[in-house]
Amino acid sequence: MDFLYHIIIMIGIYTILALAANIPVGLANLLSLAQAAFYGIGAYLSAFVLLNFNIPLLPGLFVVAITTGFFSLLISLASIRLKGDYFILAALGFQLIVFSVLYNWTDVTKGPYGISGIPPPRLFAFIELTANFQFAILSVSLAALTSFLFYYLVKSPFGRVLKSIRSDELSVSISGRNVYQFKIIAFFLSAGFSASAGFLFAGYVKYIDPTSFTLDESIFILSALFIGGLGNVKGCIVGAAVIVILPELLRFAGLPDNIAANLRQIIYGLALILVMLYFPKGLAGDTMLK
Amino acid sequence: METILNISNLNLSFISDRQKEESLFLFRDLSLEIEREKITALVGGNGAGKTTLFNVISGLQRGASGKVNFQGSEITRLSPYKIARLGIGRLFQGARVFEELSILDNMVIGAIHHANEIPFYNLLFYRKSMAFEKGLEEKAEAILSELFGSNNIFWEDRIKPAGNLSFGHQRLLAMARLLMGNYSLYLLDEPTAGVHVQFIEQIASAIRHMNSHSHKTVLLIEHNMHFVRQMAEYCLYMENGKIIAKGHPNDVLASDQVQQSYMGI
Amino acid sequence: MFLQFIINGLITGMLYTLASLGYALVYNTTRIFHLALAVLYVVAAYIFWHVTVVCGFPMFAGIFASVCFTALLSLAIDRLVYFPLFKLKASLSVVLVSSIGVFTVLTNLVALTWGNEFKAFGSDISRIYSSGNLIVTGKQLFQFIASLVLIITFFLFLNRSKTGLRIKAVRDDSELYQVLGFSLTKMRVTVFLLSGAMISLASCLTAWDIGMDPYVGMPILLNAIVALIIGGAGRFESCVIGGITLGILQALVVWQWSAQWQEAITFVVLIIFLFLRPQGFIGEKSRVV
Repeated sequence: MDFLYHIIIMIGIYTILALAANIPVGLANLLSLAQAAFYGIGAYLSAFVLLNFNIPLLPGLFVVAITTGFFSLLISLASIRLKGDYFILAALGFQLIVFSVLYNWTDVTKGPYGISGIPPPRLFAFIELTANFQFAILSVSLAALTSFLFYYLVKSPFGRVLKSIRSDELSVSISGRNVYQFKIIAFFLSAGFSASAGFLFAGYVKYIDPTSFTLDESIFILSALFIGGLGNVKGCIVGAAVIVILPELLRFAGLPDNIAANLRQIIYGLALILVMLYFPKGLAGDTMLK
Repeated sequence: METILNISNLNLSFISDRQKEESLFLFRDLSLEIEREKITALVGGNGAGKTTLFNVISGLQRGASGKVNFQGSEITRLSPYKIARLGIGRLFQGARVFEELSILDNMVIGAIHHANEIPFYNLLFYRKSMAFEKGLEEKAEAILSELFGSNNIFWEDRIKPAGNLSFGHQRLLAMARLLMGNYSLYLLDEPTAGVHVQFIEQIASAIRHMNSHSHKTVLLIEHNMHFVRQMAEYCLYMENGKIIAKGHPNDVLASDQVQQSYMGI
Repeated sequence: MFLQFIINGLITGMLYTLASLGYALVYNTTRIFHLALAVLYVVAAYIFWHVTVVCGFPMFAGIFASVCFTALLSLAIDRLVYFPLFKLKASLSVVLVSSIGVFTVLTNLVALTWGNEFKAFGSDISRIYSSGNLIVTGKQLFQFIASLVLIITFFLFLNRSKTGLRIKAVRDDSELYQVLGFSLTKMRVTVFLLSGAMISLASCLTAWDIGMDPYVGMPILLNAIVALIIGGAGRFESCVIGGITLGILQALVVWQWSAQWQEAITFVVLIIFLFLRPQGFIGEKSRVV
């Protein structure tokens, strides 16, 4: 049973991460390669909060999400100043800097050794979430909440402005919108959502180290998004399910672990190429990358 | 006469990056006044700086010296969105609709910034948000039916993406969208360029609507001289970054100077 | 000690320059954010290793095989992925994502073929040249001379040969190039072949000294991209200026602090350049719309 709970928890986490990436990438067409950085910052902050403060789950989650949100200002500033591939490069740089800090700033992050013994989060100060099935419920509820919020975001006038920025930024500002403000909010929300996935992850595995938040992880999150499809909730859930379940299927097929690891990467890579070439809307998306 | 827009001593030059000593002057001490509630045409040859002048007014072109006054307040160095909120609407060259958005969304987004666009506002204040949206949709319907008749294709296909429309229709939609903004000054950059003849009358009526129904000022760049004669009450002729003739369109277009430089006669 | 670090930095910088030229050949002419070049770097090193260490051929045969194979693989990536996307008028972001896909697929194919572990070239005892406190290994000296010759050859080719001038013409204005009756499709063939050859040479020279695993490509490529940007995107001379600046800067970081902060400092420098001087040292300012 624990295996099933594990799958559910991971699908929940990746659904949240894909939805978070969907805000800048799917709505405003800002290809952010720094999503794992937000995820990582969120996870480390969560570890810090859980280890040092005795605060219940929801306020803790909220604090972590907001704090991570402020880190996103660096990226939104880049999206304002830099166009096209220069923005992509800056986001990539940010991702690598964050990883480097997590890896090398050993006094604070314990570097490559990682942070272990993270206590479980507690619901309402008395229910300790330790069992996997409790976590599965938490993960599914958080993913559902994020989906719900994202759904309202896409439908809202705010989402409409983001989608128009994707189409023609100049026309949006000439219609009296402060485009900068919209980009800042979009990345803030994206970072906040990613951080809540980080919170779930840190609380669930109880041990984090920098290798979970590399550039490869950013690419992995974007793979989930592109395979599932951009612009809606459905695509993110489908994408997250695919990338979480696929490696397990390979394991069931009886492949040795080291081969399975490489093989699953090959499948993701191929999927990315095929999606870009032949199925730009992914499996269940509304829009495509522009 | 009352002016709505007042530009004085505008200077703008580019320094070429390759040959540093050579610089290109776009405007030299350009000054002009636009009269309120009139349709003024800005004409001149290609490269005369007309579109750049629009860019300066709407805040897209930086680095110009001089003053731009709009309704008594200086807007020279404001951001484009602030200038738009003060009441200057702009129609770009080309189609420039939001292709992936529905026709209705294109119209609604033409209305200027409101609290409704705060994220999750629709979640927190569902009724208020819906009522606001409804108001905008009604306004869009009213504008569309006033411009294009009660059974116009825009309203009928309102949930379809605007990118599906023909170029001429996209142009008309962009004009209609501009009316959603309640601007007091409309800057129209070549409204008839590249548009099939059948749409020109509709564009003309949209411009007249801006001007006579809602008493708004229109400044338009136009190469179609027939259209200028038909629409404009006042005409400015621009050459080499300067206004070299102004007055009634017929007089300006008939003057020797303009005939020589523009028509090449 | 200072001078020692400068010399080390210079040699690293020249290897960056080679990789950066490989990237610039594609980027300057097609604007493709060619991340898959990272895996070509890895493939080149493994072919070189396989031919020399496993099959026992001499070093130059290994380099020759590696250059040919990598150039063809580079061309194949364009033909199978980038060019079809170009035909579909795909945006640069779409091409970038597909490039990431290619990178992922090939990296893992390399790992499946040759294993994930670190590989080194046989420790044929390298001579050491020293004068006072300065030490230069024989391999370093070879790297220095070889990359100097390659860089000079490249610029002679670029500025003197017909093909080189055409590459510069495409860089300046690819539409005009087509209007003048030249084929952009043919030019892509040249550019991708050359780019593959260049990255292969950079890779062989580096791997021969320090060995490789399937994941060394991306850090090198990112350094190459940073070199191009700080030098000034759009030109080829910038690879030299940026590459050597970056090599020396990183050596100084190692000297003053420690090697672990190299990467972070590199990207901080990149971001500073992107914000404050996006045209790099010698690039031209791009016009705002």
